[in-house]
Amino acid sequence: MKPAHRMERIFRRAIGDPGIARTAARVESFWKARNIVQYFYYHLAFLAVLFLPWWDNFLTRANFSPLWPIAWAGYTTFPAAVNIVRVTFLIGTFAGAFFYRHRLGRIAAFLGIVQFHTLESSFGQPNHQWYPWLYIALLFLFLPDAWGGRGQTREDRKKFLIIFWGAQALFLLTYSMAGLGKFWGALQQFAASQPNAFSPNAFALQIADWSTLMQSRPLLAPFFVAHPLAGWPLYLGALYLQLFAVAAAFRPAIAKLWALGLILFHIGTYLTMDIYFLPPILLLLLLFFDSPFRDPRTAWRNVLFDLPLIGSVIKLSARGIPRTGDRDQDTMLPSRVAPDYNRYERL
Amino acid sequence: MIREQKFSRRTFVISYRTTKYCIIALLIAYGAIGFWTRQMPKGEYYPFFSWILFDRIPETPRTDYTIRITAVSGRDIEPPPLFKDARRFFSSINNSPPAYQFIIRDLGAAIEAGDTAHVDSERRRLEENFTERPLRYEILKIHYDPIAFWTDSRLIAAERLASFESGAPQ
Repeated sequence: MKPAHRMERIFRRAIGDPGIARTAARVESFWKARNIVQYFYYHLAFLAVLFLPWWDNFLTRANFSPLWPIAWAGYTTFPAAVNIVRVTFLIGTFAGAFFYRHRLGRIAAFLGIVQFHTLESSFGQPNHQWYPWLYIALLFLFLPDAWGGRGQTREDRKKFLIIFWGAQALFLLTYSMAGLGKFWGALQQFAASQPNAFSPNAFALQIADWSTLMQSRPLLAPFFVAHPLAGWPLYLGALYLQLFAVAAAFRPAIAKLWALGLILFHIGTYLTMDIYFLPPILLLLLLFFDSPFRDPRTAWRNVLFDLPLIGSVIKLSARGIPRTGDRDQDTMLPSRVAPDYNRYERL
Repeated sequence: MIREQKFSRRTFVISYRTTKYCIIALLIAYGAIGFWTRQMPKGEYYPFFSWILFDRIPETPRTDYTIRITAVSGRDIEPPPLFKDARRFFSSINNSPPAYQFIIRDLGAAIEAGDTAHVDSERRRLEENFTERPLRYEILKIHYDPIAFWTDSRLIAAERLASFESGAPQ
């Protein structure tokens, strides 16, 4: 076996396998991925319409410093630039919704969201909540033709699915980067004997400090500041969700559960810290609640085994459980591993 | 059939394996560049971002700068609100409140450093966000526990650094 193939096999067994080839073989699953791409552009067009009432706010904002994708705005008046971006965003996203099957339509949608997001981010601080939409629109530009009656080969379906999976993975990677930053910060503060993310009052301190900056009193903030221990497991849970988010891209069995957890995380940060980060919720629902890579027949035990770290602990605890039949062995194995009875014997 | 042949001509075809490796390379590159941009002046470079947010738990107790608004249009306010309770005095459409706090910190630091030019420029940046004028306000250096301060505005210590009136000559 070539070294690259051996490494890939080791990686798959350790981290997981989204099952591109397996999904490409299941035509219904491939159609699901195709439909999700279609709905992505529909939702993007809807968001462009939803944003209509707020365009005039741009005209009253100070400190406009155009980022490089919108550098052309320096050659025209600010109100004209805002109107050009407004029209580009609407026309581009609707062109994408109408012509999502064609690369030109997807390019128009991408240009629309680039111009909108760059304008939104040109007032001192980028608007991070729209980044995932931007990244996914970029990746979807490279989707091969998968619509109409052009008789896609299995190779075409695999290429489509790997790009789709790349969009899922890139989105989840942003969460893992956030989690890694928090984990590293926690280690540094722990080493310096400072309050850190593992401290029981970490969540209460974050809420109090940020709410002071926001000049607000979010709905659940008083409760968690007054009862720090109630927020401690939630804060650690959020850290776990973020840190290992990218694993959900490699373990389709946990994708839906992870997406639900991240959605609750966003809702929670809004109710406790007044942090509005809601556009990614729509993407989490769209990409992961019915992921084409997830086998609907997955047993709940497989889901547990695929949980990062926790699944490994459960597997170790399951050692020595007597075999009751071949079918039980299949359901006891993590979904990312094809049934290998010899491997189960070694567990 | 002839029409199918006409449109099946491709000038450039990438294999599945190449596509897969490109995707993996993209993921690795994004992560690496994202973390690298953290050291840039703004902490990021569009469209790359490290996604490192709220990575530090606030120290307790801590020291910071804040403002206290003492009068509006010459009429004293009792009790004079601190920044965290003064939302009605700030324009909400130009900037988010945390951005105002950064300006207040810069202003406080400039006052302590005796940098008059910087004090003037930061005052202008702060006062252009006030919704009412003239506003009399104080810059305070405060020492506090974040939870106690948020709960009932309790301070461990407070030092008045300067007093200004918006709309007055600078």
